Amino acid sequence: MRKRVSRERIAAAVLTLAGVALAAALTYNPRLPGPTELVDTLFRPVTIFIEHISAKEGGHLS
Amino acid sequence: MKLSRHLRDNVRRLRAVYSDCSDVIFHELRIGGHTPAMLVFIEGMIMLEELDQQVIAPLRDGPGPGPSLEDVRSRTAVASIRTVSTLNELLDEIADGHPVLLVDGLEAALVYGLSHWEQRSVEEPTAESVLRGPREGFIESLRTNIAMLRRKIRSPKLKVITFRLGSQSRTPIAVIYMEGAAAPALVREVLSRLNRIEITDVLETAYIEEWIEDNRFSPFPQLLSTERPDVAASYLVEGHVVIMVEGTPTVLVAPATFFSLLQTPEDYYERYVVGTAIRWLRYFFFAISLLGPSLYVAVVTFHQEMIPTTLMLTMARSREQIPFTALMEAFLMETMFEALREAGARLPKQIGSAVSIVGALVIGQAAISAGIVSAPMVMVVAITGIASFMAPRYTIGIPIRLLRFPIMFLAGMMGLLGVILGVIAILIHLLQLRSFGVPYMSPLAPIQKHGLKDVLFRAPRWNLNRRS
Amino acid sequence: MIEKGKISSAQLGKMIYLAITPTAILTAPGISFNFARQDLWLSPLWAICGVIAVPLALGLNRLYPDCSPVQASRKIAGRIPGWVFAGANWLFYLYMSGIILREYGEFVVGAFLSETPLLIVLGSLVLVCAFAVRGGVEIVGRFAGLFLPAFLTLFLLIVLLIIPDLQITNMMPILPEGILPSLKGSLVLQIWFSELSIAWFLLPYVSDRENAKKSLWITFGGIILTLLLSNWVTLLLLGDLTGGYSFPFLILARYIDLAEFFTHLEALFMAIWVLGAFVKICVFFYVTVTGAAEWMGLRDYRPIVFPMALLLTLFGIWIAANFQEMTHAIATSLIPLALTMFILVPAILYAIGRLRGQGRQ
Repeated sequence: MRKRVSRERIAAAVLTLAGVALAAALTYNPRLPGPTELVDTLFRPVTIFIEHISAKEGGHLS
Repeated sequence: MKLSRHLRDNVRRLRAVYSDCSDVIFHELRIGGHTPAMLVFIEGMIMLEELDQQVIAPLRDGPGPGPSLEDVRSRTAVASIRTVSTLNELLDEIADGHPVLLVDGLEAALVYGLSHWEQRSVEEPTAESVLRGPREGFIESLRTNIAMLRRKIRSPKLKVITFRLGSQSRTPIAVIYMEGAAAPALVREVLSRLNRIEITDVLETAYIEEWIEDNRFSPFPQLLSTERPDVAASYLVEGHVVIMVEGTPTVLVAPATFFSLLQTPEDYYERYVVGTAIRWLRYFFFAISLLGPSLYVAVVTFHQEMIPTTLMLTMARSREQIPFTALMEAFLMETMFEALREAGARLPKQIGSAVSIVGALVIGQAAISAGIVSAPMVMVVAITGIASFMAPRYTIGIPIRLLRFPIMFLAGMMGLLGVILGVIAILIHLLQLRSFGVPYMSPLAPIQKHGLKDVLFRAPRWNLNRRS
Repeated sequence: MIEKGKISSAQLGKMIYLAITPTAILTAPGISFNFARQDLWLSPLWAICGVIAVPLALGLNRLYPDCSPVQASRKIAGRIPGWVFAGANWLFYLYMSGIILREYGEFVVGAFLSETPLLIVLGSLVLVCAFAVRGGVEIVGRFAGLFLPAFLTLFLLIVLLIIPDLQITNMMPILPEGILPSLKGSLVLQIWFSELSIAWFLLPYVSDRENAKKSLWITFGGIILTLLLSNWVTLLLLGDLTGGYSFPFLILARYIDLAEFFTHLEALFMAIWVLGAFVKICVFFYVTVTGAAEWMGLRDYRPIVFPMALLLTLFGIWIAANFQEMTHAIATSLIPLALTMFILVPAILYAIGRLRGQGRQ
């Protein structure tokens, strides 16, 4: 009776595939929008507020 | 197979087994003048005179018939007499150098403890010499070695368990421990691992070392080997187990930690401040022997700004003509050095040291003049070499010599970062290694406060003794 | 639970200290300065999130002392919501690990190995971390115990050696606008302080749980002290220039000049700092991997360590196009994200848990 492919191996395979896909995508488009963009969009109002209270002239950071 | 009552059968079987063994002697005699008996022994392994006088003569000349086992026993003036009743036991005893006596009408045979052979006299082990302390070393005879330990620890708590290993070599092995000091689980584990060994011949402790280690692929040894009785004894009282093999002066101590491999007996024979200082020196040079060339390569290739300016100018000048990169130079020189070292180890003592020194100097100098390597590189290799000689045991020096090269390579690729990553990688391996269940890096990780005082310092003696 | 290893409460404290401090002393002073100016040395004192995070982690663990957070969240909030939370959680930790990794990488490449591709630098560290994480929580704990003394020693050494060059006038005038600037400066520090809630993920493995509380508070105090010291010293040396450097503390190391012999020792600083960063990434990566493994219902996390290591490396590159973008993100959008995932959501879970009457034996 052949042993069923274990869950761990499936997980490993899926993750590796995801990694390879991501790597390929990044090679073709290094500026691929990523998690940071997502977070930025989610919390846009907060970002604006923080930039506003920064002590730098013009309200810009770094 | 049990022995038969009839002498003829036993003798026939023995002669068949020992066919073409011209050194196995069959000596016929008649006890009391008429009971047939046969004495079997290996000449060269027995005390011939004693055999003649204490066994053969009294048996032959003694009074008459009806010998029982007890009777025959009492006729001879030998202190150690045992009986065996199977053929295999008999063969083992003969092989051990004990003359055996087969008597017609008796289902057992008598074994006399009259073995004797040529052996080396007790000398100081060459690889483990000290300035102060005993100069005895184990020899090849198991019996003598055990006796040496008994002389150091004269207590009945010193337990000795003997058995044989090796389906063909039937080598006597001894497992020794101190009752009350050694954890029973440890002793059990050692014995069970030894019992699991399936091997035809055991000629040295190294043969069984690989079998009973936790991780035989690691470059780091997980058992300590020593030729010194005082070292073995000191580990015995601390609760370790000693394994001895007949035929070799090297004994094994289990378990062993990384730090135990970095200790010498002299640490304990010197004064405590001296002991601590030398210990620190040893740790420092141990690090250098691993990282020396790598640090040089890293700094010269990536982090030149760390070198003081005047030194840097000198080094730059000396490296001007060299066609190789620092990494290649280092590889070349280190390989040459290792080659010289191995070659020098086989040479007879007198020429060995001279050749190594001259060879190193001459080759080094010639290489510098030829513009193949730079003088600072030779210095680094020399210092690293000296540092590696500070490793108290050969077995711990080897992994360091080996690991130097990958770290050098990493240093050449990523500078100091590469060195750090290499060290971390080695640490990952060391932190997971165990020796008979004991973490290899104790007492540093996991931290055990009272073990630490023997690792970081060599605590004064009144502080060291946990047992009364 | 997926992890069978055990750590001591002392190891817990050390792990968490090294899981927070190294990057904090590296980039935080520069960012804080833009909000607090010369009051930035006070900012670490407003460690509000720390004061919330520690009891939160302890409380959450007390609800289900021997369950991992993934299991606990399922029990508290129900199977589906718990599952959703666990998924968001490990993805969040993956993102955080990616940021930390990138910070480390930018530091090494920017200041030292300018020719080396970022991918190599990131990949090599992730590879080593992967091996350590595969070894389990015990190994990471042992590393923390091993590296903490070295890290602290070097930190203090650098601080000591730079004392002759410090100018106390740089911190004047003190509090010209009241405490508001230093509070604003502490805003970005809340990210690091809220990272203390990572303790929730490690508490199930602590063998002497009774001492964990003390250990965590000591660690908390240690972090505040370290940040105070590093902010203060950086300010006293660099004054107005503090905000202009990406890695202000590095400048301190560069400044050291002992008898004109020991100069330019910053490579040494990098070496020891890498030890701290290594532990930090190991801890975060460990939480990511175990969280992911339990979320997927696996029995053993070891098979997915290397694939996740690949993902982590890629994340490190993906999260920002360059260093400035990343710093900007840290200073702005990361703050609310961290507060949400480190404080808010666990707090909600805890509230639900207590309201449902759980954890009352």
